[in-house]
Amino acid sequence: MIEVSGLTKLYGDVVAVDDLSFRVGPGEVMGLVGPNGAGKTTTLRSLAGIIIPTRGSIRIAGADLATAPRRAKAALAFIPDEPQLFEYLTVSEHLRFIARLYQVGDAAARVGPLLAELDLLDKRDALPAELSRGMRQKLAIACGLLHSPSALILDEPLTGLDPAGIRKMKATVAHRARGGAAVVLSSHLLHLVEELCTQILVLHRGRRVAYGPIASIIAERPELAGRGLEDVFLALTGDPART
Amino acid sequence: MNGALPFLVARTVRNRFSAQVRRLRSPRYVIAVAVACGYFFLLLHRPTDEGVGVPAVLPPGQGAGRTELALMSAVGLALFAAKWWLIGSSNAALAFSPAEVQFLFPAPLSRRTLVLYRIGRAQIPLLVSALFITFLARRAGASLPVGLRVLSVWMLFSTLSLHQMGTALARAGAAQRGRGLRRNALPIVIAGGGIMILFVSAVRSWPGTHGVEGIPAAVAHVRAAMAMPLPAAILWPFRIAIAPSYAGSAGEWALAMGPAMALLILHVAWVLRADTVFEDAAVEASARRAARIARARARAAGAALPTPSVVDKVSGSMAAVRLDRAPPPAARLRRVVLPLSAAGDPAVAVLWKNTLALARGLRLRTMAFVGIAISAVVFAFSELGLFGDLPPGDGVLFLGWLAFMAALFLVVLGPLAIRNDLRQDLLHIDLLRTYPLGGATLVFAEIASSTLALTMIQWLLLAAAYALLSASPADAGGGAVSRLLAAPLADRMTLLAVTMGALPIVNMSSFVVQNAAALLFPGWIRLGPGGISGLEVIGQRILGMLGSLTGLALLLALPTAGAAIVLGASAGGGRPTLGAVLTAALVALTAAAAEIALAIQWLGRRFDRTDAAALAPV
Repeated sequence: MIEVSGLTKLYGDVVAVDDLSFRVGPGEVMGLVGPNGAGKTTTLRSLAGIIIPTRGSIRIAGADLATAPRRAKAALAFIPDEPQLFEYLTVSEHLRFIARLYQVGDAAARVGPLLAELDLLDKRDALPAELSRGMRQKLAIACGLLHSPSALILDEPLTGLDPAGIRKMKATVAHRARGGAAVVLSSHLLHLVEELCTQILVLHRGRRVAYGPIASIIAERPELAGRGLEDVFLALTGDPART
Repeated sequence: MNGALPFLVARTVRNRFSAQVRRLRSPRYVIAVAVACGYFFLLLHRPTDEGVGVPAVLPPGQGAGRTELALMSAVGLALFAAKWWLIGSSNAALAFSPAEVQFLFPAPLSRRTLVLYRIGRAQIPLLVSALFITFLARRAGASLPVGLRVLSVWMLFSTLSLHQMGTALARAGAAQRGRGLRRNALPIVIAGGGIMILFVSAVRSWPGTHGVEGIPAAVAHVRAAMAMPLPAAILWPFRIAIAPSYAGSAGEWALAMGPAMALLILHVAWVLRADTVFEDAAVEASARRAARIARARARAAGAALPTPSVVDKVSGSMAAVRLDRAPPPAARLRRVVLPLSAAGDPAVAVLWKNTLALARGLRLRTMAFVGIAISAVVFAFSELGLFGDLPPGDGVLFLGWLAFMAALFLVVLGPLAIRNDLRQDLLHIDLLRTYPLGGATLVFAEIASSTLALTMIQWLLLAAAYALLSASPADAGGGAVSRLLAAPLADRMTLLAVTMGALPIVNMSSFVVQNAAALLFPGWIRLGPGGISGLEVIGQRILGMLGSLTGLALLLALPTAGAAIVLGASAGGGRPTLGAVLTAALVALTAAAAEIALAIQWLGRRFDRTDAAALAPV
């Protein structure tokens, strides 16, 4: 479970995220959408413990990220849009490293199926520089999934994947959610959000402008009845020229 | 030449300069530029009465060794040229930027225009290099006006750059037309034969072991050998190229400029005759350079590594780019057997990762080759009596001292060179922050990684030094060596053990300071390779180094004071005993270890509070 309350992040005088609250329960997939500069990345990086919020609290699997960071981080995985890998570790060494870091006792049994699931079995001895962009993304995903996190934070997870990889990735997210993980997914691909997410949170200029199941959000605005998420998104983010 | 190309060059230079000036709005860059300017001022205006060191190894006489320097330079250039023909070069002379490949290659420009553009664009960095070298070497007995010297060095660099470009094109052409070795046979035979003749001539004129006394005499023998008809003919074009740079007067310079200019024009004509191989060779060189730059930038930004597909994109649609080649050496997989079980302290995973990275990043073969070459040269010089001070036959003793001194120097230089700690990993702070590790644990693991690597190297050097010194004559070297070798075995082993035991603590103190500087002042410390360039970077590094040395001095002040008190109390004005020295060392090391523990705890808290955004590249 991911619980966020009053999250605020300031960069000097600039308010990147303003008093944001939401909750993602086990088995739920929340889509985080918003135009460029809305504060999505800041929110995701705060959830992952990468940046420290100016105000507010974040709880991951019941552990407060500020006061019990190790317990909170042990339960989460963050998969960024641009995979960050260690230049000198091979694919399998990345997974061994993660296994030790997250104390995955049965790592040996998990690595094979995970690599097979992500089509990386024949690349297990390759260095990141020898992998394509999509394969590196898959490796970052494998690293994120190895310890079976109960909170999964994904930033544009389909970037660089081929059609087969996209289909597998969608199935993987759905499978993890069904297994009880709370998933936050940020993407500009609104059809992906519509397909996978049980609820959405629309950010605009750091503030929450809509939150809940897509059907509820549309229901609150009769003028959008019968229209798709793209129209809803453009209407909510307030750019009349684009609506 | 198309008018767009001069526009491109002019605007690029102007905008780059403007960007560097704009950075001066930040106080830290202003301070850094001031420090760098001060450094160069001191470098250029140091006392001139002692002259430079190079002529000291040359025979005294007319021209203050200029003739010998010119000869050595010509031989050096000949070796470089031979290397380019026989082994190849980095092809940097042919490389275009990704944007140039994308925009200029598909544009309606002739091949000759592209080549001329590449030659023209190269002149800016070559001129800057010529200016820099002329200023640095301006006191080396030069009698020419500065302008003429700059012009000479610039022309020399241009000729070399064109020769490198020409060899790259010739080799690429030969390789592309297949049967590369046979197609290239003539230049390979000429280059190889030329070098062989130079080598054989030098060896044949050598008067035999111990036949010369010191390096000046050796240089005189080489000079005589190179004056023989065949070696002189081989070195002739290289002497022409460098003659203006070593001219003793304006008149001499004017006479030397004609042939040098003719050589330069011949090179331009040669390169302009480039055929279709130019595009392929240039795109391949550009792709390799793009990959190298992208890798450095990716590391500097903590982002992903570029792949061949990325390189392919930046290189446009040139199918001739041979991306199926093996990846560059930095990315090549070297199998390192270093087990890691999934159970146990998670911090060990960080230590394992960093050690693996260091082991893979090291060019072990190159290091071994360089080490063996240095040892062989030192041993040979020593045996031939070229060092003068040492009696012949003391090569082993000299190597022992060299290993010992290297271990000591590494105490200072090692922490600057070995950076498999936070200075590399802070670029991945996004990733580190998601790990379920406490800040102090992570910082300790990072610092321990570098400490372990450096200490292992020093232990090996010390062991080698001990073995070599023990194997040399007992009375050799005199003074400290003789006393050390004459001491009882137990004392010698105790001293060795104490030294080896002290090294990890001393090293860790240095690494604590270096990592603290990276964590507390990320803008002032180079994180990873690459980054921004400019005068202020030099100033930043000087300030960073001064800060680190100050921090280390503060950190070691208490342990040193403790050791001094113990020594003073036990010695009572006399010579300290071995026991007193050991006790003092123990006190100092304990105090240092306690300080390190406290510092790591504090740095861990700082790491936990560090905002990743603060580490973003400026």
